[in-house]
Amino acid sequence: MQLPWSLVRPEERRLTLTLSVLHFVLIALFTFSKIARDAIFLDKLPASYLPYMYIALAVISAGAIALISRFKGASTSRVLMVYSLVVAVSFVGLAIWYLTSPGTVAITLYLWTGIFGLGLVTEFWLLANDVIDTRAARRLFGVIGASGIAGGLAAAFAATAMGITLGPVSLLIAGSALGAVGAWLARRSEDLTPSQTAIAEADDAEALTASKPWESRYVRLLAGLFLLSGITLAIVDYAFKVLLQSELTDGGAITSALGIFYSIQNLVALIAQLGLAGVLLSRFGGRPIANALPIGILVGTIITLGVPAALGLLVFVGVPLYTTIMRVSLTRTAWQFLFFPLPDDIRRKAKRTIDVVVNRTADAIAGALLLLFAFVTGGGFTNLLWLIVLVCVMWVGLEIMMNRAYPGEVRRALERQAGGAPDSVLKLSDLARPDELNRLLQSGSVADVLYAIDVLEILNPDLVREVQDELLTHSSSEVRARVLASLNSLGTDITTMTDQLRISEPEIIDDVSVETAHADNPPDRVIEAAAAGNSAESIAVLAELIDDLNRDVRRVAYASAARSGNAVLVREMIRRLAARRDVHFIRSVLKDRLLEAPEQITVVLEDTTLTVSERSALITVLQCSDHHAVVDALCRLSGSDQHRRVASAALGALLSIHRAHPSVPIPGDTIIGDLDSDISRYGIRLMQIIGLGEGGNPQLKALVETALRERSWQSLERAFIRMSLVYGIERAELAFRSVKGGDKHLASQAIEYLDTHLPRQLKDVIVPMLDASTEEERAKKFSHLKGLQIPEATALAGELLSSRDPMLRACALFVIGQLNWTNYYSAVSDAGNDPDPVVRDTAVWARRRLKEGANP
Amino acid sequence: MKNVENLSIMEKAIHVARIPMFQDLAIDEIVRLAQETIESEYEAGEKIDVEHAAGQSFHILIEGICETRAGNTVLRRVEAPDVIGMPSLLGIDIADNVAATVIEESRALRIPKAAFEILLADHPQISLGILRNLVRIIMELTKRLEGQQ
Repeated sequence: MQLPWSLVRPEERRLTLTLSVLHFVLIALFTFSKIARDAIFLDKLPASYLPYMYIALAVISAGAIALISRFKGASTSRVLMVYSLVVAVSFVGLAIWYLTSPGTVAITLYLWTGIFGLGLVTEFWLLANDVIDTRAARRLFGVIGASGIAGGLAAAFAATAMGITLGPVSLLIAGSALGAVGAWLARRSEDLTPSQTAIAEADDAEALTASKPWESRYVRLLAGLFLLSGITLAIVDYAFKVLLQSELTDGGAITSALGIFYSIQNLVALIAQLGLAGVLLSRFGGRPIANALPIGILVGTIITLGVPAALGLLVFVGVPLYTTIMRVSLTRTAWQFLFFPLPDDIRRKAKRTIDVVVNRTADAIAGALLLLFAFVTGGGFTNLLWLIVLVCVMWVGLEIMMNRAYPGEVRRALERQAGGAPDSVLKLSDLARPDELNRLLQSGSVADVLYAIDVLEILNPDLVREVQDELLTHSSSEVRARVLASLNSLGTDITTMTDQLRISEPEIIDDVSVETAHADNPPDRVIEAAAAGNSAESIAVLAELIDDLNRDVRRVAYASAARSGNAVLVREMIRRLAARRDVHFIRSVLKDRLLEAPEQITVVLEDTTLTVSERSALITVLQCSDHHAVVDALCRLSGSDQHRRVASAALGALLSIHRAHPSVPIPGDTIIGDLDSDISRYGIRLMQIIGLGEGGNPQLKALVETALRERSWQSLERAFIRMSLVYGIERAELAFRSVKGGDKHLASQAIEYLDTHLPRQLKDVIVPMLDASTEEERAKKFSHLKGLQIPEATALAGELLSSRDPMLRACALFVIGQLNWTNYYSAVSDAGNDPDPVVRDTAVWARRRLKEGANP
Repeated sequence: MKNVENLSIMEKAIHVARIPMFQDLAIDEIVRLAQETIESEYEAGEKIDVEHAAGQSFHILIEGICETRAGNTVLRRVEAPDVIGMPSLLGIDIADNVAATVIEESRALRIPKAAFEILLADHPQISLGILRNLVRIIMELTKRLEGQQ
């Protein structure tokens, strides 16, 4: 079992210690105040007054929230400082007042503790949320939470002794002293929080956007959940106090009993928090732990109802004990995770309102329910237990709803923080106004007219058809060619438009003049390209015209070539696509052809002479079709046996198809089958980076490291895409960019997103690796998981030499040559016959170096 | 000036990777660009071939020192690693009397315009690096002019 403090990283120690000590003091203060509150109240007033206190607290809390909102622009540490000081002073005042009006103080203290107590704890956890991200919280909240429990435990022990000897008012004095210490500690923690300026700016921004937390369904669900939990817990607490008052009559005895109760509670909670919180949170996250509380109460209450009455009272003591143990330890920690996905301003508003107003409202509703219950049923402990069962079942229902809502909110948090998909993409229509385009069509500048035709073809093709007669007789042959090509792409038959063109009659001196006139006349050639059919002659003409100097001629020739389906022409277009020539035109015509006859295009993939670049370029065309032949082809190409660039392109294309056509079945088994391979490659590359070691030629090391690191990210990206396709993780690409980006906070959000969406067996492999903060830690985690050793530099060279990746082979040869590792001479010689030119070149160089090294 | 083949592709790639505008490129792209380069050696006093308006290439100075001069006025001192000839590659017309002269024995990698343009089409972010380079040159020239005034 991992010890909780071993989960704290060195750079987190100061932060963890500061928060832990602060939490210790604040919870000790809160515990003193609770014990003093309950003891004084139960000593001076009957327990039946409690429901009225609950209602009064709810009313007063609304006003308290208004007070808290005055702290706009203040850091959470400053708010805590003020809280603590006010408590310190007020407790002294209440202690003095108690001497003259104990009954009034009992009520005042009850109300005052109810307001500040929750607020104090709320501000502490807001501070923790501000300075710790979700992933670090899983590791650190165990320790920090345990410190709070330890504070409660220490206070409970002290209260037990002080209650008997000095009475409950002594706790107020002790609480006051702790309040002063808490204020000092809060002041010291100010350098942990975002700066005052940052908060003020955030609050100003919030005012501008007028963010309303309650517009969010998730926040409303949170409020509902805490409301029901608060009602249930208040009723359980009431039942416990009724039990306590029925068994004990003396104030001192009650104080002592409460001291023992809270001592046991805190001791067990401390053990649970220290021993279980970190492990359970890391493995399962917050939801199952939070669910355990209402389920435990339900089970305990049902058992109590099922056993004989005398035994039932004894059994029932276990329920409030279990409740308070979970509340101050595991459940409280788990509840904090519910607020992490919210934007900062909404989180603060929602948490303060929920912790103070909603929880108090819950107490008030509980109070009203109890009064109604007493009125309707006449009271009785058994009826009270049934009331607990009823509200607990409703609470469990809301927990189930929250289990479903939380992953969605984590996804939204990732989208918000990582930028997500842009809400609006700059469109061509944003750049070109219709009236401006009309004006350009009439311009005397050929460039203006050509531009206008290009834009109108996309924005308003009907206008192109309307003005075609005018443009076909334009004085510029370029314009005439452009409009013909445009009409051709819009599906108009341009082969009959020869008569409409203004063609200059050539002076025929000899046959050359005809050819010259023809060669100088792009519109002619455009029409010729459009008219070309499937005959051998036409194919020959097209083969020439796709090399024409005029782009419009080439464009129409490509369209005709694609329509012909001629394998040689299609292959040539793919070659040009890979060489980045006429990319836009070729892609467009191939896409059109793909939609008409997918098999004609996918069959090209069987051509073994296709280069990696050509195959990857063709894949970018395939993604526009959801035909099963295309999907099948892409699935084959996505395998780990394919070149990494091809596999990456194929997976990207499948993801695009899946997004555009969610109903198209993607064979999940085929895709996921290679997931382990991609994850392994990622891990192995990381190990190889670490294996390079320190020292050596920095430029050489940088080159090899860069190559390995790029490959590692490419492998991880493929893994993310596979997970997206198979497990429906919508924002896998965003998560990948966030993990890769280097922003710790963003990466943490992304990993939390994966953690809430991936199945268990996958989570156990990927999440621990990604959670590691450095490459070295990730490599070590992977090596530990797979039982592999991180290679030494010399052995690494041998590994890379046998890689399928030519770049890595070239890097290995380069390292061998630079470092003069003569034991690899024979492998270097063999590499001189490598199919890749860069590998061959590097092998020749390395062999020369090794020879020079052997014969200096 | 003489073309030589002393450097392997990987060695050239290391030199290309040292230029800031290429530092965001993937290693494969850097190596691909390095494959297209031609290694040249220059003696002191020689002029590096910086062509006018329709520039067909630019150079990465990998060793040595050059000066860009307009007549006898030194506009800019270029020390390795740095680029020479970027303005002409972008089609910026430079004066007839502007040339890059080698001060001490130097080596450079010449990058053809076609290869560079393909790279630029695939990686438009390189244009940011070009802009930064141009701004740096302008600032150097401005300082030099102010110093002379």
